[in-house]
Amino acid sequence: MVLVLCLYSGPRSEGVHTVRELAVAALAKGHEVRVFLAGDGTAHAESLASLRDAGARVVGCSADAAVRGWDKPGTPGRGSFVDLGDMTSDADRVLVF
Amino acid sequence: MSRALVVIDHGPSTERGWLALRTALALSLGGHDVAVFLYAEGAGWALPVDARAWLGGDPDKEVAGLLDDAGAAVIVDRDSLEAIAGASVEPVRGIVLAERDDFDRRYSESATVVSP
Repeated sequence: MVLVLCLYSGPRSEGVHTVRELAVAALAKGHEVRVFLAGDGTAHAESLASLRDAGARVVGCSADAAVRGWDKPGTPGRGSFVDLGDMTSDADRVLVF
Repeated sequence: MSRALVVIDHGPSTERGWLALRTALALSLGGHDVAVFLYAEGAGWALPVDARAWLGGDPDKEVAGLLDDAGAAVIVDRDSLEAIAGASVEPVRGIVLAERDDFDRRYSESATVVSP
């Protein structure tokens, strides 16, 4: 199964915890996991970067991060909603937090 | 092409509503046949939008993009629109008032349902 997890909530919600736990559990079961960060969710780019090592694709909207002052050019996973379109093209489930 | 339903209950006064519109456009870019259901405060997107917030963008163009470029069906809950703007107000061009069974039908037809 291809699972797309969108995270738009910032540090004051438990969304990041839910996304991380779901991603880890799904990867452990052999599912493909893609994580997309936008809005305040781009605050979690660094804390969720470790999911890449576990096999997930993690992309954040760099424009949303830039307007908040925390975009880091040159770091992996900078993208846009065009990437979200690509990530959902063959997704079996799309969840938004 | 699988069908996707995006339920938007955040209006133009929050970034979350704009993120929901961008999510709908992304699903369209991903090849989905997208329908958008505007509900509660999200019905505000069915009225003329003058918000110019966030990234210097123009959220109203996302609505136009959904209608004109993505070919999405954008429907608005009648009661929500009346609560925001009164009974005599019509939605802007291209957005249609939901019929009684619109949501149930589109929900049952959609492989993907999200409410950003």
